[in-house]
Amino acid sequence: MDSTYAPLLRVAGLRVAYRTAGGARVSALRSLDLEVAEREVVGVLGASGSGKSSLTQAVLRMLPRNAEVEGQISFRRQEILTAGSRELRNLRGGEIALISQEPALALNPVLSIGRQIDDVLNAHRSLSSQSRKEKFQLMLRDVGFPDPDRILRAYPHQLSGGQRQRAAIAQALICGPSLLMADEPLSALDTVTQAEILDLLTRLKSQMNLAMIFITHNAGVLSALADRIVVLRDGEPIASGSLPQLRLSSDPYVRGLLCPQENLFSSSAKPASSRGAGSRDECSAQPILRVRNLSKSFVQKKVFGQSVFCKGTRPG
Amino acid sequence: MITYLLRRIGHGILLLFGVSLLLFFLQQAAPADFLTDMRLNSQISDQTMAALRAQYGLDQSVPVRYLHWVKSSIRGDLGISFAYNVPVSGLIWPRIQHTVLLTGPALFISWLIAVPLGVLAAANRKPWIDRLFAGSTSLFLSVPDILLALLALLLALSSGKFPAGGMSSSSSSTAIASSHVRDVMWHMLLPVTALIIGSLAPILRQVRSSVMEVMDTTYFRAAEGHGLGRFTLLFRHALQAAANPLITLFGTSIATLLSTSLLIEVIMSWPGMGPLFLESIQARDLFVVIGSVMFITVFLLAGNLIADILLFVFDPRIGNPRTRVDA
Amino acid sequence: MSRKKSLAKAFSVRALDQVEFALEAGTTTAIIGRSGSGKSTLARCIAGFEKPDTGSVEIHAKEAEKSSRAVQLIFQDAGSALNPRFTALDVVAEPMLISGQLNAADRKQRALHLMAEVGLDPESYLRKALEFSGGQRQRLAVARALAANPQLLIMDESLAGLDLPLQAQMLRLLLDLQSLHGLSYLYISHDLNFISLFAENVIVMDQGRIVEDLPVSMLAQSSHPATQALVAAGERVHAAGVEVAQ
Repeated sequence: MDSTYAPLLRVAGLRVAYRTAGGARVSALRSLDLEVAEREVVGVLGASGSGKSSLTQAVLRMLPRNAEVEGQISFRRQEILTAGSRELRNLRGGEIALISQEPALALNPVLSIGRQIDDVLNAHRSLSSQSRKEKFQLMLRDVGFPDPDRILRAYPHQLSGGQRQRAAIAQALICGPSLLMADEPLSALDTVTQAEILDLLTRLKSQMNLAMIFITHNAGVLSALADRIVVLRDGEPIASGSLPQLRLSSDPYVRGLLCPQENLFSSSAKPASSRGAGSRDECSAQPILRVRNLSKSFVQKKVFGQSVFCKGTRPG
Repeated sequence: MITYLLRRIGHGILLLFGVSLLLFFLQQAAPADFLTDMRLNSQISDQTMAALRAQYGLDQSVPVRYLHWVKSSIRGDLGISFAYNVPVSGLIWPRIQHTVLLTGPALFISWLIAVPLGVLAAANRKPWIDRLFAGSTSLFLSVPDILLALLALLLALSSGKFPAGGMSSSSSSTAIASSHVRDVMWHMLLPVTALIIGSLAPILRQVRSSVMEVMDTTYFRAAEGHGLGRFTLLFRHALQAAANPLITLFGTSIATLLSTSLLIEVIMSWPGMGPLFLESIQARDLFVVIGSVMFITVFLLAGNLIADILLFVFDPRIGNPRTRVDA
Repeated sequence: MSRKKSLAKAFSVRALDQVEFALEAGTTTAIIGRSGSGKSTLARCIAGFEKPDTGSVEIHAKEAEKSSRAVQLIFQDAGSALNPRFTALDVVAEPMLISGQLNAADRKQRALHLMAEVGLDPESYLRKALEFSGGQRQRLAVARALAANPQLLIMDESLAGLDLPLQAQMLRLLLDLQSLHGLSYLYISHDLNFISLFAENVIVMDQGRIVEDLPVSMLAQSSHPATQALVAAGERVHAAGVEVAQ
């Protein structure tokens, strides 16, 4: 091993636990070791409850107040858990960026997209307003917006889910970080949009020389993107390797995570086509549900002379 | 936007009608009128009383008098004050200005103090800070405004450094403008301070709790995760997202401030609406009472309307169409 | 028992446009489509949470089950719709409490049984909902819906985010209930993998209209552009086609 080799991110012996209101101690991560090299994509496969969110929060040192942390996290040899607030702020967004599951929740609803991206840029670089403008244009085009100016002026509630996630990605990458942590970035999107965002992330990864930690519960996404996968269960890493290696794992749980067929077919579930009339009642000559000529439009109310959809009803 | 404003103004006018009607009938229900005291004077004969009554129009029935009043007030004539024998509007208008002279600065300064303090209290959650905050706001909330005003008066009298009331010293009204202004401001100091102290606590609490709520949201933590500086985070991202309940509070704080001001003016002899109002109620000076309440109602309505407009301005979700941006 | 709803006016955004279909009792139909295609609106109309402008929704449930709710809808992200201060027991037992059929002891027993069925530790029944992870809360929501003894269960992305072994467990559970009690399912999802194993029929929605209504086995061969887009994207994202080394 090259003695000068230093991984981009090194996590050693990370333990995270939370003190609940009742006083009990709930362990989220037990002794996690993880290394990410420059430009490497590490997939973290884990279901909800496996501690994956605690990992990203710990790296940015943004765990909730009732969290107890042990272990070491270093970025380019800089210790994160003991860093001062100035260094932390430089790291956050400047070197390490995070995008998460619900883009609708990650963007401030009362500020324009442009303002939110501008704030991130200003926090880490001092550039003239002309250079900032150019950077925005470039970044927004890179994430796939043909008309950046419209997006800059828009507010989050005016964008679709896919657009919001793109905007969130632009915001995260505007300062050119070396490490992007993505916590279930696709889960809230429909499949077509998922494929688009996945393509986007793959392209940006090589274009911007990004290392990534990609957290998901869906192995299929990682097959195209990840160099290496770590499987988390109940706060502990139980396997790691490349996707083909893990598929041959001796641990049935690991195999089950990665191969839907093996999992679902091996259960007592009969494939759909073979389910016969045995489950049908002779009494139900008529279908249980019949929908006829159903139409619904959403009423546009006028508030202050502008159109707004009725509160509580959203098309979708 | 225009239609909305027009609709609100229409509602406001209806409200004013309702208030005036209520007042008229309430006055009727009160067991005396302006001339009642005179009956105690045995030198005034019954015929004189009757003649006076007719002159003031007090012999007619209430509905008739009300209609009369409505007709003339639409033209701007709010009637005559029985006690001062001058038109009501001319009596009230300068008093309103003096009240605004107190409440305007008080409103401005109390928000100017409470917002940053509230934001800081929300951002620095340490046990001693939380306790200090809760304790002091409770204290301020529980002190009655009248006590504040009396304490201010006490301070003025005992220290001798502050004017004990009134709006200006007797000498200054003839003096040059700048020293007159300074004199008035010196007289304003105690009442405005009392007003500010009385209104700080609710604002402080609301600011702190709204900002705390925003600080718990995903988007705030995401902004933190992007390395934004503390000031930008708190005063742009958090405060603007927390603005909704604050703007609503602003609308109602105008109302609270007005009513507190009336009290303080009476105690500190500040020539605003307060003393006039009190006086005219005691003297059953019908048209002054009604005129005063009308003016105050207009202020309240304006305050609420301003709050609504501010909401529209500061929250892009209100009024902005949900139509997707295609890009 | 049948419910008919009808009439009103129509304005701007057409969320649903002349939707027609039928669901046979004891079967499963999946509804797929892009965001904004009207899937969730359709689910809410069927469950009675929205009044359609025109048309009707007829539910023909068995008479004997009248006292329980015939239709249950598990919303998208139902896990965060749970009252965080309720205990797991409160959450799951609530429908039984509402229908008033069982006494407290029976309710508790049934609730614990349902919790175990969805893969939650019955011992944790006293923990508050906010102390469970997202995936666990999702399963609590499923357990609660089942506690209401529905005959038609509408699930709007209710199993998204669960890892595959858990999904398999839920699939087994749902299929068992279907063969035992003749439950019918309407399943809204993006996961074509899961759908291929769960549903018999698939309805494809696009911009408020049903563009295809076909058996699940014919999904991959469809020539409709909307369907093809969904299938192609599904293959990219769920890597369904990869076989285990034999």
